[in-house]
Amino acid sequence: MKISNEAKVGSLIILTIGLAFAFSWVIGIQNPFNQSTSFYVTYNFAGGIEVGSPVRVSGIKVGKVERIEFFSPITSKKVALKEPGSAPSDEGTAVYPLKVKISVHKDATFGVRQDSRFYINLAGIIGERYVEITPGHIHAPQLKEGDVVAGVDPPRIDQLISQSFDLAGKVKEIIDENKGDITRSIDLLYKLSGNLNKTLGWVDKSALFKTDLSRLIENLISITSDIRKVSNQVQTPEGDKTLKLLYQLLWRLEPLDSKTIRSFLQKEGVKVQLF
Amino acid sequence: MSIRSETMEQFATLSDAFSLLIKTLGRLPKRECWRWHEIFQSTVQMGVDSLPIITVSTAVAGTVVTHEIAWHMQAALHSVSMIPGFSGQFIFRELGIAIPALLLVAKVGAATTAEVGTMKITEQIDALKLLGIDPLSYLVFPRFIGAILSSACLTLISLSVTMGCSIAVAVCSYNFSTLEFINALRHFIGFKDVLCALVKGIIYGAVIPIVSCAYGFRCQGGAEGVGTATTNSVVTATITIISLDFFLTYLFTLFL
Repeated sequence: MKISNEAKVGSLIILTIGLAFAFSWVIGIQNPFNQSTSFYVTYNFAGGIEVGSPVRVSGIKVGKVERIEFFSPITSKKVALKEPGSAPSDEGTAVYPLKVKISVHKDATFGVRQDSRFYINLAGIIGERYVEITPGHIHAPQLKEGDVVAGVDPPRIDQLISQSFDLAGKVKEIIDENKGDITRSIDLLYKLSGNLNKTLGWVDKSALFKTDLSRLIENLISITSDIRKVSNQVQTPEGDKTLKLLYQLLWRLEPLDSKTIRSFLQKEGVKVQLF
Repeated sequence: MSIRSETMEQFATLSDAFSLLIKTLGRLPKRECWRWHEIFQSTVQMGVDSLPIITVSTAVAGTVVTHEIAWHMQAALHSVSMIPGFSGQFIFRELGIAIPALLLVAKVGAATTAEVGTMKITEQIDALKLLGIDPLSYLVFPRFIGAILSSACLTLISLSVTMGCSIAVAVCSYNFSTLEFINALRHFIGFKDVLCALVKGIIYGAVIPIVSCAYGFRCQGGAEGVGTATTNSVVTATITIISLDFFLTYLFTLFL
């Protein structure tokens, strides 16, 4: 059977269109089964996050970064530009220069709430960045399509390095200024450890310490076992009752002094020459 | 022929090719130029008939490249976890586009130059002119459209075949699962990569018939002349595609 040129070309085009759809599904451009919710997270510092970076909820990939744009504060009622957990402020808003649009699969949006935190983390051996969302509290309102929340800025490695460089400089200054004292302290420590070593060696070798020390330890063991027995007996219901009674007795006896006792005995007509 | 005259001849042919491209593009809005029978015939010759060679070549290339990338990663990083990313980017940016284009140059470009060149030296083109048929509309335009269509289709097919083989190698030899590979691939490949591949494929497809026909139209001196024109056409088209690959890649990195 001879196939016409038109049929061959048609088959080629159909095959190509099919492959184009398959590609679009594979690389996540188009998925007919995909249902996701998009919202915006604002940052001062994005720390290398890129369009297409994964979004994870509780460590599971549930979406991706759709868009990153520079941002001017908007006055919509939906905006909650206060990082969850931060101190309350009168204004409740701040200027966050970056706005990251993220899409999260509908199944995972239940845990994404107003008090969820949006971290930018590192993963993999080449350090790919991703947005980690920690689930929010059950009573906090769930995020809806188009809501804007503030993310947690990632630590700035450049600042850390700069600060540690300053710290190292200051430590060096202190060492240089107190060089003599530090040397003397090290010498003293060295001598102290030498003396301690000698003392320990003498204790180890001494027959007196061996016998007396062992006896002392035996006594300590018997004392602790006795205390344990007593405390066990006290912890019984009878012991508890006795302790309560003792406590009540002491409470009653507390206000008694010599004057009170004397007036009591006089009232009772007891004539004794004790007082 | 001296080097100087040969160089001048090459430049003249390239200039002809450029003017041929402009004239062919000028015929796009003309309805009478869209000879569907010839366009389908060209598409079948360039696209459908090239499918076996392109499928086999790209399949082997995908397998080899994935093994090579895995070997290098194992040697340098002691980990093969990034095979999907590296092989995917290489296939989508270069391998899956350049291989079908170069194969089309070798198969279709040579055939086109030989055919047009033979028509030129046997004065068939003059005969067409005498009959009032525009040789450009009859010979070049259908091949131009057919090559663009074929190249776009073949680029997508070769991309899928190469990626399929890459996945197969990763699954069979490096303990990946298909879903794991595709998930990792998504971090590295996006819409712009597919778009760049398609644009590159279309441009390479447009270059091949234009260069081939330009050499065919300048063919002279009998059978030997046809052979020389065919060789020169393949060499020029190959160099043009490699040069264009550099410029297009540079442009895409700037704007996409």
